Amino acid sequence: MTSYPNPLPRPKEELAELERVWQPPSGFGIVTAVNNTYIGIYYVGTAVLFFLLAGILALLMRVQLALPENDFLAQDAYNQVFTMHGTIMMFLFAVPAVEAMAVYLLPNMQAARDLPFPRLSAYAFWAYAVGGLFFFCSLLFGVAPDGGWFMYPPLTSYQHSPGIGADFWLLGIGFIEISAIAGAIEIAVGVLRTRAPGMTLDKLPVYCWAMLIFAGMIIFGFPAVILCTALLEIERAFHWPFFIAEKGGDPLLWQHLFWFFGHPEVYIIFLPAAGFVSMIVPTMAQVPLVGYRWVVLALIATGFVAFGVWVHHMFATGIPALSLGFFSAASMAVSVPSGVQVFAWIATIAKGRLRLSVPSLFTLGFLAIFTLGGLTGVMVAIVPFDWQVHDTFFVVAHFHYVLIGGMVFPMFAAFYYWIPTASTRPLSETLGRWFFGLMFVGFNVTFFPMHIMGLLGMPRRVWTYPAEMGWGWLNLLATAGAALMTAGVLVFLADLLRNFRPFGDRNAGNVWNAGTLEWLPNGNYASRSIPSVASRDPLWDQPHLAKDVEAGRYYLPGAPTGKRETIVTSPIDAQPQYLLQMPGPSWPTVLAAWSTAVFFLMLTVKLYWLSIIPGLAAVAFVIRWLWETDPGYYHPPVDVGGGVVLPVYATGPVSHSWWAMIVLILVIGSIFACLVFAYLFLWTVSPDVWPAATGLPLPDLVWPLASAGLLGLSSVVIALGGRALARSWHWLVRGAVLVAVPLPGLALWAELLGQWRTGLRAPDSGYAAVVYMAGALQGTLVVVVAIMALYTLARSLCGLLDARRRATYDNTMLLWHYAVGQGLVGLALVHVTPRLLG
Amino acid sequence: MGDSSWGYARETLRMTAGLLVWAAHLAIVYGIVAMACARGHAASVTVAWVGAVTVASLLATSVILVTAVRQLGRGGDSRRFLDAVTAMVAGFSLIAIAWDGLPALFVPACPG
Repeated sequence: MTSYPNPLPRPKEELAELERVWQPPSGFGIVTAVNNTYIGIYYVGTAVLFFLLAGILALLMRVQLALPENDFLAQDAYNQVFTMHGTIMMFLFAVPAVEAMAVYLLPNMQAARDLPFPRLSAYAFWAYAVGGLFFFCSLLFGVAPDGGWFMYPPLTSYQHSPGIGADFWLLGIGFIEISAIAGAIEIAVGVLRTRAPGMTLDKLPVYCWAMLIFAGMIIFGFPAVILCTALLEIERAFHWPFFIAEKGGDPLLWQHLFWFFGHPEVYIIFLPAAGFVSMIVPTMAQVPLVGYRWVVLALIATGFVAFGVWVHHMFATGIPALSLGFFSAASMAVSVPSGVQVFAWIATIAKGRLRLSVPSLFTLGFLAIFTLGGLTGVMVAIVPFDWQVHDTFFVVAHFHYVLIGGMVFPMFAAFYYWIPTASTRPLSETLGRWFFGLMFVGFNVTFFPMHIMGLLGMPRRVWTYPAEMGWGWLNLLATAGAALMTAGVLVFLADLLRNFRPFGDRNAGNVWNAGTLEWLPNGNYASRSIPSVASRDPLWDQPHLAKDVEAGRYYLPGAPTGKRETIVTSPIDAQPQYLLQMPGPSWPTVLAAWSTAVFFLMLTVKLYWLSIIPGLAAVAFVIRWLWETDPGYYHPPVDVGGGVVLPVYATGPVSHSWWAMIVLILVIGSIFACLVFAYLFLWTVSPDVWPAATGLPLPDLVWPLASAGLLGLSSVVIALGGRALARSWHWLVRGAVLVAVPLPGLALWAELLGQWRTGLRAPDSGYAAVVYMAGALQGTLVVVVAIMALYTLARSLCGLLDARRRATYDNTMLLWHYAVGQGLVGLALVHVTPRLLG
Repeated sequence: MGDSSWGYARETLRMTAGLLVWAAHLAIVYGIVAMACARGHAASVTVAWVGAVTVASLLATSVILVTAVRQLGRGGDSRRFLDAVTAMVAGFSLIAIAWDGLPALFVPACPG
């Protein structure tokens, strides 16, 4: 006889209370919804919208290239169209789409009621949706960027792209990156801390593993593009010459930073897709995944090795041959983990009996197309071959096989597979088969000829070509294929219109007889009770699980604190640790996101002074949103069932907010590490603008020493304030914060004044620019910690901070100490390095 | 205690130790060659440094692999899984480091 955490029958009012607490807002207030079942679907829908928009741009290009010497699109328009197509597909479709799916799926798959920061998900979504639409609209006004999705300077710097097109890219995409990072923080903390009790790391669904690695890759990969977009925007706005060779900058610095993000980006969108496939294949074959450990190994290995291949985008730039050899080898090595996964899926199919439904068809299509893309990937990893096909249509064919095969096909498999969890009706098998057939044939007819075009020498990014080159029939064929794909997408949209009915009280149910928890009966509150898990496919191994969960026999069958709650578990063995009260629908969150988007738009169109208004509004709305968080131990511990009594609050290392702060610090640290790389890289290539060569003196050591002293003092004062808080010496805490706040700013002032007095000016050289940039990065951090400290002070004055209710202080202190650490390393970089290296 | 926040950090570092060595190896050999070619250092010295770093990385990863293999099969499901992944990651890293270092035997350090 199984023993359950909670006995039956459950009190009648328990379910009603759970439903009341999780009731979504109604009417126009629906935009304030923060629940994953709403935000996830808004998010996926918006990503699909951008897929359609970028797809229309692809069609425009195919029409233009269908015939030689065609004049359907002018050259300028074509440049904008291919730039926007790539940019939107990568930044506004692919990454948001996989994050969106995670926001929707992860809590259900882990039997959490929601991800730990629902308002952060909502903020990320709205920032992305509004910012993305502004970005797209630049095309309608003919001011879209036209320098390619990789935006190489010097083409995109102020001399050669003087309009605002490049600024749209740099600020617009920079803004979207913030949204992606917010999503990654949510996903990383969600996977590690909000799992069903007993869902140890060895029982974690492979999709959750994939999303954990995905989040890690965003945390370490996106900072490189954040830094390089900031550097290029600053070069454009203030003429600091990071990328101008005549002044000791280097355009290759951009390529290094961009591709250090750009290549992992491919895996950032592939790993979630591989996660989809690892969930779909076992269900469709009705057997557990073969080689679970090997697949986890493959995900981890890909997450690392993907960062070691960026130089293969730069094989034609004159980098030393031996360096090319290292990256060529790494580029081949990265195909091994993908191969491991492909064999695991084939073995699973072989072990079971594959049901040839629409998700299976898209999965098989993915296997065929992605494998071909992987093989051409190994071809272009070979340096001499790459030199032959570099910047030709062969490369276009290769990356579309990888990206459409590796991400879009699994995404559609996932839509057909998981829509029954979100809709009262599943999508149509018949329409789905037509969709798959048109997509598979259309894709290959479009992109296979591009291999041949490339081998025949057709370069990428040309708006037209002469008839005598002989590329005409291949291009016409490719355009016909694009028409087939379009027809396929139209069939999909018709299927959605006909069958997709989200936000209902019920869903279509476990139509595939899947084994994982997202198929439990659920409502807006996720599952009625939170099961304990003893295997990887609990619905297969515990046949009564769904019924028992729905009856409320497992943990937390109601809403005992009268608020939205979920159980926070330990990161390795998923032991319940505390009950997290989660915030509900919120206007300030949405308004903060909209204000942030308007702020960035105004910066882009150079309304600098006016941008202060939405900028301040965004900060104010964020503060308003945060004010209700950090509730303290106002509620006694709660018995969630089975004798498990959980506290309703946590602070310090066990807290989910502390984890989010640590992840944020990893992001900021990665941005700083990229700046250190930029400094050393420019020193390597342009020692002639360094002080030893120019004769410009370095600042007297008294300045950096004073700066370091002030930084260290601020950390000591903040730490003492933390101790005072533990003793509830409130006035001492407030005094400590007030004393500490100006110190990092003074430290920065001392550093910058020291540099200024030597005559060093940022626009003079790559060296000067990177030195002042270290100050600018530190300055940003100083402003952020100052705002956080003053916010903490305000909470203290309002009586919202005490010896036990101190998550706000602890998290501020954590970032403060990091800021001091970064400041000290920065000082060492700009003062010690030139003295040591010359 | 092992499943605390710090315990998790330790476990993550342990599990990915092999790949961390791989990453350090790639960064260092890339830095050595970039510097050597920018500043015109002797090719033989450069290749010797690359070889030394590669051998040191292989040794470090071997130690991680052997240590992880010795742990295999002990404890509960979760522990066994973590140890197995640690060993598999180290094994993969060993091959990847050797493969990445191999070009030093065949390819000249800098363009002529």
